[in-house]
Amino acid sequence: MCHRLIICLLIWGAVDTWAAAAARAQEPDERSVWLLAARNARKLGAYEQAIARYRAAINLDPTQWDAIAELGWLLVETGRTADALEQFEAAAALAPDNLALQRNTARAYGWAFQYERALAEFDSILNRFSGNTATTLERDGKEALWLGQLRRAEAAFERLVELEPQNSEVLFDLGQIAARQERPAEAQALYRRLLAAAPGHRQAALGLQLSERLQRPLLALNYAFTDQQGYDGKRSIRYGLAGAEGRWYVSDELSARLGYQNAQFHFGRDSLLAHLGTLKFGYRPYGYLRLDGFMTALHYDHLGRDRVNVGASLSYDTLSDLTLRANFERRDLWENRTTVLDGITVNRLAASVSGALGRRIDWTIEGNYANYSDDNTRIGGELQASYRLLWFPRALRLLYRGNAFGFQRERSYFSPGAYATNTVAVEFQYWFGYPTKEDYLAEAPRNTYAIYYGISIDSNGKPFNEARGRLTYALVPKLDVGLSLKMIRSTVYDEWSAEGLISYTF
Amino acid sequence: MNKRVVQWTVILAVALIGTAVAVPAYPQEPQMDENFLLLMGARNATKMGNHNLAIIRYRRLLEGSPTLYDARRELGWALIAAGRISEAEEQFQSVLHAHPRDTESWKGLLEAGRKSGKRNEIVQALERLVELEPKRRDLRMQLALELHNRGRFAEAEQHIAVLLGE
Repeated sequence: MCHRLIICLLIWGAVDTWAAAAARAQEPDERSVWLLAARNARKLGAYEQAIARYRAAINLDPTQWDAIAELGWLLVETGRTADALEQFEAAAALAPDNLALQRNTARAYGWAFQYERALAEFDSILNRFSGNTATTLERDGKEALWLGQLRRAEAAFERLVELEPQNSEVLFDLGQIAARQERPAEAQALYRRLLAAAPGHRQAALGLQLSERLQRPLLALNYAFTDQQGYDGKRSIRYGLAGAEGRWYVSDELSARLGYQNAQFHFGRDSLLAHLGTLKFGYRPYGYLRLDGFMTALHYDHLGRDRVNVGASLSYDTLSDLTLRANFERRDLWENRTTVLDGITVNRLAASVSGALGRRIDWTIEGNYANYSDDNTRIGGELQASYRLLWFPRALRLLYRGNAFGFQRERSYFSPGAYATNTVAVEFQYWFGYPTKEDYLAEAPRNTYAIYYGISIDSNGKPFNEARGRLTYALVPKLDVGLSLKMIRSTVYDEWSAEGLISYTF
Repeated sequence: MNKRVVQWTVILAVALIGTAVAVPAYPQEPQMDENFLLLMGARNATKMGNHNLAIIRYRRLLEGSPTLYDARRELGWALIAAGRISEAEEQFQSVLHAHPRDTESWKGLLEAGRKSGKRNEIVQALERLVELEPKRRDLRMQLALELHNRGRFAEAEQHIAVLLGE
């Protein structure tokens, strides 16, 4: 009897356990299955399948803003930024009180290079979430970054990352700023920190890889040919420069370049050969302070003359978005046969200040003074202003340049008592992205072409036409090629020059 | 008369044989009572949330009857409830040693794996459960999710395809 009771109790227990298990076993809802399926396909790199699955999940419940936002991220990753924007906007509309989602939408406009719309979105967020410090800092940092005001951007982002240490967007932007300021070790530390927080951040991984490559030694070979003829023969020179240059990054603060160039001058039937050995250095104790310098030892065959040319340039970015520059250089004057054969040198000192007016106008004012070894001086000034019509990755700018100078004495080189030019020009530049079409990283700004055309009128009323073209392209990750052409045509002066470059990163 | 004597003799003999058979059962009766009481007591303690007491009672029961596998499985769950995960695993493994297809014990191991954070054990238990109960979509979903979270995306995809009917 008792034995039966025990057996019955065990059976009841088993039934009880089964009932409890059955209660726990819930049929997974279709939305969760589709969402998992989409995420898994994304991880497998099956992006189209992932997109289709996300859409299926969203169709089951169109109010699920989290899935919509995820689809937006995926579309960004696959380069379909316009589609991504639609998703982010839809998600933000479904969750108007979700600040993170609203900020993502604003960022997405930035990823689509719609910077002004992005800033308008940030302003809209700030109206709704008044006094949100993180959004304010992000908006200010983004605006400065997109305007190229790196110091201001860095200051805002550094404050923001203190508030939001896991903010992947700001960590990535700080990495990009460090890369643009040629501080690769700092950029790498930021990318590693970002990847620790978000291991799947593809652009950070790519930035890290490219940044590490930038630190490796580089060997560049180039050839340039210049032909300048005009001003009644006062500027009349033709020479080719063949060179090789190596680059080393000692640290984020210090880099060096060592090169050799062979210059072949052509003066009618005569020619002259010169050898140039150059050491260049770059010293960047801070992102906003740069000191660059060079020293070139020259030897002219046949003349048996040895010379040393030197130069240094100091640049400082202020917190009020101004860039102050000062540079000095001492160079041999290569303007015509006389200046080369007589060994005339020029000591040139220049100072400039540049800044921006609003989001579209950039300006630079420069003053310069030059002293020539044949007892002559020159004083000049220049104003440049540009108006930005298109933003990165396409840049269309209208330019104005006013330039004036005067020499103390008439000499064999082009040395009028007073001379001025006014130039209007248009410049278009397009970045291809690297290494895929949609990656525009600061570490890889190489794939680009630029076209420039300008018309100048000088103080004698003579018109000048100037055209320039430049192409740089990475054939393979370690091998870059570049080509640039320049041509000036007028009734008083003609010039053309061309340069080819090939560089290999070890 | 002889016939009646024979009848009585037969009845008496049957009674004696019955008594003889019944007598050895009497010493077992206290043992049966104790098992019954231990099982009831263990379950009652579990219901009251007194898991340590339940465990003591289950263990006493299983000392006497080690093949009561349902009770052993219940002990496993009580051990999980008491946070004694490794001991619970031993109990479920013991049941599975005798009954490798016992789904409830695999579920116990799954729960133990979750409590102790043993990711490999979780996947192993889910794989076995999906194999034993292939129509249980919830288990397959859990397995797919676990594989996905562990970065085993290709394996997860196989189960996702089944869930989506692809």
